[in-house]
Amino acid sequence: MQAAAAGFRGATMTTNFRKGFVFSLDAVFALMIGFFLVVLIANTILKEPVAPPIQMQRQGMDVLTVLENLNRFYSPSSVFAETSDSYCTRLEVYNGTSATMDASFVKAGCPAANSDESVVWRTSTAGGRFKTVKLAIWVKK
Amino acid sequence: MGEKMKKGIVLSLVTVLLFTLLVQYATNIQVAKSNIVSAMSRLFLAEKIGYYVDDVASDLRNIVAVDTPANSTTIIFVENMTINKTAFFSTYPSFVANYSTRTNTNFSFNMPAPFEIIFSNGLAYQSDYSNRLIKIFNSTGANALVTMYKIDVRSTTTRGAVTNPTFVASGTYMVVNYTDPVPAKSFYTAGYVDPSVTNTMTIRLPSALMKTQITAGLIDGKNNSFMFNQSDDSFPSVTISVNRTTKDSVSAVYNASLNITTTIGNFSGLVPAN
Repeated sequence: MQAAAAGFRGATMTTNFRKGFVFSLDAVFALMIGFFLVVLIANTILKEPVAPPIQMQRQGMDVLTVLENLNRFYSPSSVFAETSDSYCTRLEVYNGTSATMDASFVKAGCPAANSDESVVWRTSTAGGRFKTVKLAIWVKK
Repeated sequence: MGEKMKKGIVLSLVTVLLFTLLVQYATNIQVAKSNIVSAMSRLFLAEKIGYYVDDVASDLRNIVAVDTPANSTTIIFVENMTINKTAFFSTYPSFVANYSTRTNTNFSFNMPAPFEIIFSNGLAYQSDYSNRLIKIFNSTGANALVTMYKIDVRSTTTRGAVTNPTFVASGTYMVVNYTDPVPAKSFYTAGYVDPSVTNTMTIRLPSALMKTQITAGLIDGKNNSFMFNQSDDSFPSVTISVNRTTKDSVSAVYNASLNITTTIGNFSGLVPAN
């Protein structure tokens, strides 16, 4: 009689143990899926809404406008210094329609080029001299 | 089906429903953000067209800059007389065409001679660069609504004799502020002139044939107009201030047609001057 009772208790414990294990595993899976979804959604919601090339090109257009208004195409460093620290810039000046570069300037602390650079152009006729100016802008790594 | 199983199914369904709602919400946000980015991209391309127009306008401002201060009757013109405008305007269209190739757009530019700035109130500034002649008049043919013409000139050549116009008690105020390389020869002359009569100040240069004439009043059959004419390049820059009768805001355009075609939109019109 006692032996039968002990056997019954043993069988109940094994069944409960199995159930507990399955429930725990289920909870772990649920938590993993939940965590994954939360991360995915947060990543989607918190992502920068403006495409970076647009922002960079807008910055580039502003820089070129300022450089032209100040007539600083040949001494742009002080204007470059006023731009955001997260951007690097490189200015190239061409005479008229020539494809040969007349001068080039890179923002202090930046490499000379980057594979992800955006490019903006502007013309200048200060003093009756035709210049075509190219500004390359990229995110500082 | 046991009671516990029923509860489990309900709980699972509620959980799935909640996750579905969450995913739906995230999807909606993502779609809304994509729409914003797309709208911003279109807006940026429109902004770019404005940038190109401003770029061309700033090139023309190097020839004649126009300033129309807010809440003021004054319009100020500054013309660079050292630029060879004939050469400038023969080369500029091809220069702009090259620029359009580099920016992957399609530009066309045309500016007929003489160089002209037209205001919304009818006032016109005309620079006949091949004859070194500047005129300001009302393009409608009516009297120009101007109370004062002031000209500031700095000569690189020492002047000879000066002949003043006939000043009267009232009319249009005419001011000539002349700066000579020899300070003692500089002068400031001001007075009223009759706007229906041709009133000319002549500044002779050492060479007998060379002279500069500044005229206010009747010019080419138009009352209350203004003219500046120099026979050589003694004045590298000329600043003319015009006081209007009213303070209403005016817009100005260069008589230069510009067409810009891009993948998203076009600009077609005269280049803004102010």
